[in-house]
Amino acid sequence: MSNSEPETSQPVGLDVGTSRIVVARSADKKFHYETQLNAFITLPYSRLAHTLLVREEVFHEVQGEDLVVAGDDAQRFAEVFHVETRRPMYQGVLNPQEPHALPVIRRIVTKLLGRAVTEGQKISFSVPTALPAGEDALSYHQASIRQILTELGYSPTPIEEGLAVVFGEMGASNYTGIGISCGSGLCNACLAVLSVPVISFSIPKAGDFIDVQAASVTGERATRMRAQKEQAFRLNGLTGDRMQNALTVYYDDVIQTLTSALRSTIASSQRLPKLDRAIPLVLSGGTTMPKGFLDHFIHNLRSQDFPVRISEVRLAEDPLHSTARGALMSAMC
Amino acid sequence: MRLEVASTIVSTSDQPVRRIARLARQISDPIERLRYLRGLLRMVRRRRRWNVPSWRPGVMVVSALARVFTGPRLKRRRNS
Repeated sequence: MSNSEPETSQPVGLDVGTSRIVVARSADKKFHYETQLNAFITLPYSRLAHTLLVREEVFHEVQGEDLVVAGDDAQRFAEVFHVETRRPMYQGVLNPQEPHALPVIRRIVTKLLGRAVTEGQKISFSVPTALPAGEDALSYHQASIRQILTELGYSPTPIEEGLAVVFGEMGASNYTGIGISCGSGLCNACLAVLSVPVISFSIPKAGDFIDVQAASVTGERATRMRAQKEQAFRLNGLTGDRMQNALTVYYDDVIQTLTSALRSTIASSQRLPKLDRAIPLVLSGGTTMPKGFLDHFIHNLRSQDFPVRISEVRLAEDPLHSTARGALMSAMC
Repeated sequence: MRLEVASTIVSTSDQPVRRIARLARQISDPIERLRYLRGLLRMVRRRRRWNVPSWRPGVMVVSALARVFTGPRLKRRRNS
């Protein structure tokens, strides 16, 4: 038997995000990550195009009359053809308007994970906290991901994104604190005490909201706003640049909504434990990455009284991977 | 002996909760520490006689976690 087999049959963490799907594995006491963009584009089928995609080893499949290019390759092709990529997910769950949603996610997850090495290999996958009217959509999303993973031979367990951040980032505080994941579709938050989730909630404003709103007021495409945001954006007040200004305005909107929701949800909770010491708050996810985000968040948080004492507010060490890492830690326990 | 899990609000300054936290802090490996805490959680959930709800455990389970440690000690005291 080779030495690698026990390693690959170890538990796996899976972050199924609106923008990216991340797999976390553990080997030699280190975490390793693989990522694919959770997006696709369709091209009309032709033998020539299909042959080209096969020859260039582009990640694709034929679905009826369409060639569906998915994952990171979709972004590359979208730039070549000047089209918007399409998303299988919307606001943290499967996109009901997108007929290709489930097959595309199945393809991406299968590419990243492969079949389970041993039947029943443990995997934890992230799910968002349901929005107030989104319980049904979340149930369908969760059941669909579970079915994909079961078909691949895994034994899947869901974990809420906010709790995954607590697991991934708060070992030093005994898994007590507030974990927040600001992704593309939603911002998910969880207050946990000794690894037990006490309060979880989500807000529907996150990265996609910023892109779409900023694009609508500047007349640009949302994809262009996203590229601008990821490459050069700094959250440091209004300037002469209208794209920068629009992004700043909607970033502020997201931060204000998130801090208000945190304050009101915790304050209105009747089942809040009495905490004898201040707790940390950790921010993760791609939306938290622009410079200045943390300062704006802290400023908004401290602008009014907060119902629990906060010892520190910090960004996750690896914001794009902390949910997957927390899911992996959950699967390992 | 039936232990009561009556409290719906628990304080983390309660002696048993502090004891759990202190014991967990002694485990240097973060995964082992999480495994320890989650193990307690699973143990509490199995003990249905303690009336711990399996849905959204929240504070009830933190409260019950505390009793995992007070239970045996109370029992010993009563026997002595």
